[in-house]
Amino acid sequence: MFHLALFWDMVELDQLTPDGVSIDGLLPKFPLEKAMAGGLNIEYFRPIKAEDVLVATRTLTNIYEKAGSQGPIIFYEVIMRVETAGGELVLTEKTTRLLR
Amino acid sequence: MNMSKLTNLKPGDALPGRDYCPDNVQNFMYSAALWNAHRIHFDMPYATEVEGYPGIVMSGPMLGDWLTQCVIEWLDGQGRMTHLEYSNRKAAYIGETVTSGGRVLSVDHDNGSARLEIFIQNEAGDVIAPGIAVVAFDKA
Repeated sequence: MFHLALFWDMVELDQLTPDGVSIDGLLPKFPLEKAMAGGLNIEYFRPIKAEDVLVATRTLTNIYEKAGSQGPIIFYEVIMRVETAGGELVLTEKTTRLLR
Repeated sequence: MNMSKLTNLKPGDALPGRDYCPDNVQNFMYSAALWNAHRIHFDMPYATEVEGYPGIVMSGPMLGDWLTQCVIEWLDGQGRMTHLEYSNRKAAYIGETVTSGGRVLSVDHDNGSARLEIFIQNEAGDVIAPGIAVVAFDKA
């Protein structure tokens, strides 16, 4: 899973929210703000080799709400598709995160 | 002689697990490597008083990496993981010991692949991060 943080935005300290989180630029403003990891779903198509140039495309694909035992929970999903610069598919990853 | 793990593999076979008892330092280093400054992972007053957790929260994807480690160590260089999915169902806190493990769900001898159930469990025996992995064995 070392690819996980490769394509995240590296933001200035003053762009972090008071809880220390870098808000994903893909997201709209949500009414709930306590962020948690929800899980991952990854397909690995080919190993990453030294000198590969990787290009990631991230798409916000789903937002939904569920009633949790301690109140509502907002879930969102982002699909990241990683290809080589030549267009060869390397991996796809669906991240689920939640906000309470 | 180099007999492939795949040859005698059958559903139900166990994947050896590991116990993990990460301290603040390991949790901090993991979060730092992900560029994740969420204060629930290092700031005890913030985690407990503001977000209402009982302690410092173990990083969610760290559990995913331990699931990955369970599969990769079991594979022992004889193939690669082609699919991984897992959910963070329940939080774990610094001071707890959690345990990885898994078992073989199905084996496709023709394609040289296997589907695995993997998990991270807490001391109470709750599965806090269930997952599924698919591995492809190298051709002999």
